[in-house]
Amino acid sequence: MRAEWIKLRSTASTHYAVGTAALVLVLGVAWTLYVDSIWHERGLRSAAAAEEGFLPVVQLAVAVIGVLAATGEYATGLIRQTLTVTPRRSRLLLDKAAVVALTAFAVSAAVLLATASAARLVGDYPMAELDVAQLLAHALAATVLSLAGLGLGVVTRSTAGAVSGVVALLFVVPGIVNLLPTPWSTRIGAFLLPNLVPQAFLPERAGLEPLAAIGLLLLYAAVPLAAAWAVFTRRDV
Amino acid sequence: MTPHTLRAEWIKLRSLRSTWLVLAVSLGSILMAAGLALMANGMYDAAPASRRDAAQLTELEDVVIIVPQLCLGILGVLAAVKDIPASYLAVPRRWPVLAGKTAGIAAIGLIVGQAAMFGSALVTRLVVGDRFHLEPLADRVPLLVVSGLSVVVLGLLGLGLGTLLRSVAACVALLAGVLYVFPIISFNVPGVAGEWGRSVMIGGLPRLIVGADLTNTVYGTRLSASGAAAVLAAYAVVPVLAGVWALRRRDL
Repeated sequence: MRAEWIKLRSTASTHYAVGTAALVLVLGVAWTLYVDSIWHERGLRSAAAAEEGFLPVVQLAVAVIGVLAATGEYATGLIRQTLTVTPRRSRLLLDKAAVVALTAFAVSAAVLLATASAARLVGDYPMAELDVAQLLAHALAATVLSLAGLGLGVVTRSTAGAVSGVVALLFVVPGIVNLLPTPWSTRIGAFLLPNLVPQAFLPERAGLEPLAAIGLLLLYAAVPLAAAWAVFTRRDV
Repeated sequence: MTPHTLRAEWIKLRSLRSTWLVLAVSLGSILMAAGLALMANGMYDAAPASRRDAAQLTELEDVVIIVPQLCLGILGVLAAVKDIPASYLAVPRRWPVLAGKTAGIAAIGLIVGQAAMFGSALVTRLVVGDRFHLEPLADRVPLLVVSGLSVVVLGLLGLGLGTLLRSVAACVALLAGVLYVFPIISFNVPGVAGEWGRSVMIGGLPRLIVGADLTNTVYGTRLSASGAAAVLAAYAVVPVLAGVWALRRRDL
């Protein structure tokens, strides 16, 4: 586990991904200042808070960390050495998952909380009240996405494939479902990853019960990881 | 670019397994349009006759176009990132290699884009028959052609980014950024900046170029037709030129 942590910490791509996520704080402040200037000038009914607007950037950056934790080693071929040194594969996968999960949660929670607080410090325009629990739930969803990325990375052994898979979960499928005719778009939409956290916090919107939504969210991490475990324990490398 | 490098790039591209996977998924968008049309049919037939006249169907090729766009973008990234060291030993002058790749990706994008757009438009119309009063196919030809060209643009954007950054993960994430994250952010930004953001999104540009109606869409209308054409071209040309520039300066 310590080895996995050092690997993740010392990879340049992890730094870029964390940097991208952290950039959200800067962008968020710029966003808030800009929206504020409009609000002072001619008033606005409401506008999204910065952390809400830039949420997809954080999600994507954190998901890439998960993918690269798996495919980075396949791309360099170093996975062979790793497996020679750590032949117990379930253990290795579990440790990777733990390190990825902790990192993803810490990064996304820190970025979201910092951006949300900075936005409220800097901005005067009316935005939703700072809801720490909801922000932590968004960080949990980002963590789930990161673990899904890890699972897909192990299964496909391809960075392009796994990142595309995560992008499909996060954007492509919801985008297409959104455009379906009305009863279907909401019916299917309720089960899609980006809509789960909002359902957990706005139960008045028809859809899943909050607990069911969170449970389903966790399944989005569990299924790819289980698939990864199934192939990783049977495959050569 | 010599016939040699062009041929070499073509062989490399066609012998990659990912190329075929990407092509299959791209053309799967036609099946997807067929599936969506079948679903729409079911709803139409279940609705009472009085409500059928008002029923509308989104043009399904506009829905599924994202699949070939993303696929070609990924193919462009892979073509750039996957084989750099060996190619530049064999062909020490670098721009011909990139020119060969550009030609290959553009050709594939052209065929896949047009096939996916016309295929899904045609299949949709065959499946729905006389339900929904869809616009006749002939009236949509200009938009289908330009939307198909946006697939080429994504391919070259991927190729340019791949050459510049040499990281599959970063490039695919950036493609998702251009196609999804940037639009999501633009929708949420109020005022002039948001209006501009919504005007330069790839999704809206083909409609601006052919002068289609944008009143009921999320897209902005800040650009003229020629301005929109220039922006769409820039999405392809700027990254490729940046790639050429990086290749000339860099070790590998």
